[in-house]
Amino acid sequence: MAKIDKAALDHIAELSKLSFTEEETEKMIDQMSDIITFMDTIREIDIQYDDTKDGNQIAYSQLREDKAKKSADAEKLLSNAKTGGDGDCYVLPKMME
Amino acid sequence: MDMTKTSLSALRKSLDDKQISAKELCAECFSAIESGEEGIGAFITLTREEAEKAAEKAQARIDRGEADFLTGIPLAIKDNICTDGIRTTCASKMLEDFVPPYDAAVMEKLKGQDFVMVGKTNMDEFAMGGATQTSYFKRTHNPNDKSRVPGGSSGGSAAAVAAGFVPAALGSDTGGSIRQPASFCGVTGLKPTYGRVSRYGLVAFGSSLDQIGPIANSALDCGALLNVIAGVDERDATSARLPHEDFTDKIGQSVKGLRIALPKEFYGEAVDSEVKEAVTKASKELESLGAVLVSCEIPSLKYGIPAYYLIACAEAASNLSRFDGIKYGLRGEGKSYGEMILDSRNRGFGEEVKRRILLGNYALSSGYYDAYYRKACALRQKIKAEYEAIFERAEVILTPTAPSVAFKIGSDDTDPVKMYTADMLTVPVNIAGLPAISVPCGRDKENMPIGMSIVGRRFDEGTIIQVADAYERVVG
Repeated sequence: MAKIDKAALDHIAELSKLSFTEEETEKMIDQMSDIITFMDTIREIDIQYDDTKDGNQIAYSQLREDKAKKSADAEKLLSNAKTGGDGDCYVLPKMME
Repeated sequence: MDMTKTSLSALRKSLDDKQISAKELCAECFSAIESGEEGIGAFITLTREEAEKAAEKAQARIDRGEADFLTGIPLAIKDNICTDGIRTTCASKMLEDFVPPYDAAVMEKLKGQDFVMVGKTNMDEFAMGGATQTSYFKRTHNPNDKSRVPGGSSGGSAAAVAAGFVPAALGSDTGGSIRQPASFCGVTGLKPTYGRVSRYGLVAFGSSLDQIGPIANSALDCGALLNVIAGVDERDATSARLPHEDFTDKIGQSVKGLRIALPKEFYGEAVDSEVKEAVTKASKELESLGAVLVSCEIPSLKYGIPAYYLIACAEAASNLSRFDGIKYGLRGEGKSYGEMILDSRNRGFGEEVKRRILLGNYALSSGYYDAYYRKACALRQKIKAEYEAIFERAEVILTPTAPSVAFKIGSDDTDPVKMYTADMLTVPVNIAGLPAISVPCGRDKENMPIGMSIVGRRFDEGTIIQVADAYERVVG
């Protein structure tokens, strides 16, 4: 049985800000079902995550001071936006009428 | 000059002794690229003009007698490492025109020595793949046999070194993306300990797994490059607060008495017999030098792949949510804000990237978080503990890098699960945050290179480089 149906795929596509054509949806349901069946091998082991262990050893006591510093040049940053730009603003489609 | 047979220190000496100028060395690289690149496809962007300027600046520094180790040395950089003013695409349509406004931390360090960047190398899109076939721009071919893949995701960097276009390159490794292409192309690739090299300016894939590292023609060259790029960086909170050390210090020291663990799960049925034979033979070579072989187990290895893909994809889904078409990247169309974002992402990302974003969001979504993501994190702790137990009885672990040699282009790229399982020997090292180096250890019947991985304790790159170098010396 497929692990993922159309409703489930639509839901994760919505969370992912992606959408698929009908043909793509069919293919993606098959592939994601295979992938999730494979991921399900971890269900067979009974094990609990110990969240008292910090795996990445971030040195929280040694983080840099929270001081404002000069940021990247605004013109350089804006040059990557495909909007044509408007002064120092990004131009977006209307969010509400 | 055959770049594949010239060490970085030999190049340094030639430059310092004025046997060759930085400009001539740079021209040699571009001449090799001009004659060989068409059949290989190692680069997305070549930066000849910038390279020539950098070579001039380097030469002036050499002439002043102020050269550093990499002054005037040409290198290639994977195209997910941000380069100020030079486009950085991650091999994605999404970032086809993206020009970073700043340099990655590793670029600052390399530029500080006045190195010469010849170009940005091809890769799997957003480093998601193991064959350098998911790039939006081109497929990369293996210089040993152009009908085969170079491995991935740093396939362009490994191919550029193997083809003799550059003496060394930088790649990045989230689940084997430096070591596996190094193995497939017959070169040496080093994944440093998580935290050893700053990730600032590396386009994020799996933030708890990603590391930048060198690909070169020897363990010594990898160590020498790591000397330059390693170090704490306040802009990467996970970069380790450790004093600077020389990773080539142990080179030449005897491996007598050094314990090398061979975990039996890495020599199982899924690994090709020729690969197993080559790595076993290499372990005997090391034993003949006085090393002690220790048998051991990593029982949770079979869960390594699902645990890795759940963690990596969950992190990728989060990291890649920044691509909305607004501040940078492909700008989609649509009447509303939501439509525009959807169109940007639909058109900007390739299929494999979409699959991984979907898997990541599935694992993180309500109702599945505990069963998938949290369980994968628990397995990560278990795999780490199993490695730690081995390192109480051995200094290093020796395994094959990949279950097979490089496969034919087009043979394996339609089945995602099959592609994922091919990473089974490399991902546990990322899960545990350990350092590992892949070293060539022979060829199969079809003359394709086989690679072995030497894995070390956290922050003990010096020992794996020592062992790799000892092996290189004994096999010549």
